[in-house]
Amino acid sequence: MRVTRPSSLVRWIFAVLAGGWAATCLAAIPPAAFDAANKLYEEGKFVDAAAAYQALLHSNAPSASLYFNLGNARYKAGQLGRAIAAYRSAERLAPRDPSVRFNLRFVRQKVTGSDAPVSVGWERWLRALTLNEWTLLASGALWGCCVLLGLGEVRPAWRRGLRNYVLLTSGAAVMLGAGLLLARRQAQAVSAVVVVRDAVVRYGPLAESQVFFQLRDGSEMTVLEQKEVSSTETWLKVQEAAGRSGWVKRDQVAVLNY
Amino acid sequence: MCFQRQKGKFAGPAAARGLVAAFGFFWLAAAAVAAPGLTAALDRNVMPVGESVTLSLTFEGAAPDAALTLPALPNLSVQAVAQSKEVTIVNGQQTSRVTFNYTLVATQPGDVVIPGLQVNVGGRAVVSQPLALKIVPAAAAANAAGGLAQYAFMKLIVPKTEVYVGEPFPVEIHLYFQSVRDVQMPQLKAAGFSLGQSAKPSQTQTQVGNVGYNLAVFKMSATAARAGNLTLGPAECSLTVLVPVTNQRSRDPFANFFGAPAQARPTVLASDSHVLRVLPLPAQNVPPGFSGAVGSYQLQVTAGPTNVAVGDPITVKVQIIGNGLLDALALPAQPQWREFKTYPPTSKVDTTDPLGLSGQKSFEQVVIPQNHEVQALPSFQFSFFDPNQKAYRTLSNRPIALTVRPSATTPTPLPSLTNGAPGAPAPVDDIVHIHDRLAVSRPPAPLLAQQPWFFGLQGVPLLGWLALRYWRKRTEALANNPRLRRQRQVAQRLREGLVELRRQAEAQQAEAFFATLFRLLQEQLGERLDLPASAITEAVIEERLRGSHLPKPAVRELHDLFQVCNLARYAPHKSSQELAALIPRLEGVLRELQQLPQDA
Repeated sequence: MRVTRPSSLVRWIFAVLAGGWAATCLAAIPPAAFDAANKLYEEGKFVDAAAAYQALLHSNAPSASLYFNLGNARYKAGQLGRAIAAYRSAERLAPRDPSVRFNLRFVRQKVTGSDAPVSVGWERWLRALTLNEWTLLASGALWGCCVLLGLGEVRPAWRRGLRNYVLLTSGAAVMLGAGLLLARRQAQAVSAVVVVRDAVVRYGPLAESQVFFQLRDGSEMTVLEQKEVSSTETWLKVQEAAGRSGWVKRDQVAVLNY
Repeated sequence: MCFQRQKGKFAGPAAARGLVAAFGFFWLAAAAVAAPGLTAALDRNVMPVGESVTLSLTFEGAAPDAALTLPALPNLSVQAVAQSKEVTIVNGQQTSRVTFNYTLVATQPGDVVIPGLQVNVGGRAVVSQPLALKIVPAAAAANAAGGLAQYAFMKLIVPKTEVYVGEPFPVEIHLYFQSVRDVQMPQLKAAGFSLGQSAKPSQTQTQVGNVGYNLAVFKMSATAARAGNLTLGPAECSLTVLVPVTNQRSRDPFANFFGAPAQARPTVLASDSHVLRVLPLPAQNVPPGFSGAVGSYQLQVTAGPTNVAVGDPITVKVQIIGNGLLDALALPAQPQWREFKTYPPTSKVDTTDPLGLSGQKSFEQVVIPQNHEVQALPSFQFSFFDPNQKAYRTLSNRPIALTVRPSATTPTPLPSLTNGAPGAPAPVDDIVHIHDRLAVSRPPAPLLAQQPWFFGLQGVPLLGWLALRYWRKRTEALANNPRLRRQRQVAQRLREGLVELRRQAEAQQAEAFFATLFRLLQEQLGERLDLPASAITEAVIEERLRGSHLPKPAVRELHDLFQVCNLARYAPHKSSQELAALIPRLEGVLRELQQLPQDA
């Protein structure tokens, strides 16, 4: 009788699991549909391409590549706000993808007219990792710290030598834990992007309210509150980068729900 | 002693060297602070004929006793010299500054360069920097509404009459006034021009004819957007002029003591206009890489690292230094870099003048060699139109030698950067192209921090550490308490011994049974009496347990068990039942002994 060696068995199990996972992900979006949408883009039919990418997103699992291509199609179609919304969704799935970051910065520059980053440095730094990556790093530091402490209990003679490493890992655990909390707080903040040419921000959630200021297509803001005036009319209380807050109609912005 | 001597021998020169170095440092620092300096400045760089400009020579630290005699300056005459002195004390450090202000009156139009002035101050020669001054023909002041021209008027100063499309040039609006308020920022009508950055307005004093005025100077840049004869101006400024009111009939000598009464007259001042001849850029000899840059520039190109493998990035740094619209400069495509994959560049502008027309623009671009046959980065070429030379110019650097090794791994396919056909030069002002493959992306995982199992898992290392800590404390407590350690060892031996006794009773191994029983009694008594187990005999029991807290029945039972053990040496044959019946008796005695205080 043939006996499978344990190492071969482990490799086999891993191969099956990895293959199954990849197959699940790939099967989520039919490659032919993706290629057809890309073809529309290459033919210069950017609005049609955007609709095709959007349809794929509605019917399948989200993908950073899909959001990225959607952002490109929106940008080429002149829809800067919708392009930024798509890139930000792609950034959430692939926070360190250089293509996504470049295009997002590029379109933001087109909107604001300057190369200055929209958010402050520490916010960009927090966004460089996903929440789960923050969680795993903080957890790893905690485990490392506890393992070193346990080692010090088993081998008291090593305790002096381990002291600096314990301080290092415990400090890292605290810092990473704080980073996790901040990143989670940042991720929980609901953002919105203006998707019409000029969004009118009013003092109150009524069409009759006095106009406070206007925001250009692509302007990004934080959503503070939502109010349904009727079944067809919803208003959002938003705050723009300069700190001014007012009410804008829901259909004038794209809300980034995480 | 010997050590001290050696130490002293070693420390002496080192200390001396340290002292010398410290003194040297402080001497240099003091010399740098105390060195006299000379700075020259003009209160404006463009002026009409007939007006005055102030040349300030400022001496820091030390100054000559008398004002300098200026060399003969063409188109200028020196009208007056004034001197001022300023002494400041900061943190006990006293610094003095002497300024000589020369009032210069323009006599003829033209470009004047005030040369660097060399002066000997305190035995040291100091030199000022040269200054450029442009004198333009006198412009007639537009009449202010209501005949207010003697109190306030405005001039538009344009140093050029002929410019090229895209060529930036400075424009100044001069507001002359005696007493005004509510001054608004002047508005310049500039159809066909695009106005650029404005500088912070400055204010000085000047003389026109025999009348002294306050002069506010507003500087900005303009660029012609189309060719033809274009009119720049007028500039308009809304303000309120304060016109003095003189009362001839008043005989009160104190009537004007607090200043002459004034009447506020709101008005809009307007300057004259200038017609500029805007020339189109020549259509001949246009370099292939020309992308619309107009100005006067120099080029510096560096690249690194130069020893790379195929697929490794090389950062190319391009600095374009000079005069022109730096903000609008774009890095031109380099078709000769076809052996390299290029990425969109990043840029930064550092201007050296308030109008942003001179300085440098730095680009950083990542290029990646595509094969190992590449030996150099071809020369970078930058073309622009130079309005001074009225010709196109192309700057280029020498090719930068590269060492490109074959890559050990297959290079990762890079995203294409353009929408153009393959082989076309990459436009840099565009987004990164779409992904042509659907990368396998993980479906968004649920947040680990919200999973109870993950949260619980974080308790494992903490509990593990606490358990190890408890174990260590217990081990240390046992190590420091031999009686406790013996107590635990004896308890363990008793548990094992009772099991052994039951087995021996069943097996009818009487000799071994009684030996074990005797040993167990010795162990327990030895532990209680703090004696070695082998030292426990009936005599010891008699001596130590008499008068102790052990109940008398228990003492009797103990004696009986010892007796049984002694008798068994001579008549060891017993049945299983007889042996088993001794075990409860032994357990009873052991329980009583365990209640006995230690060292009983």
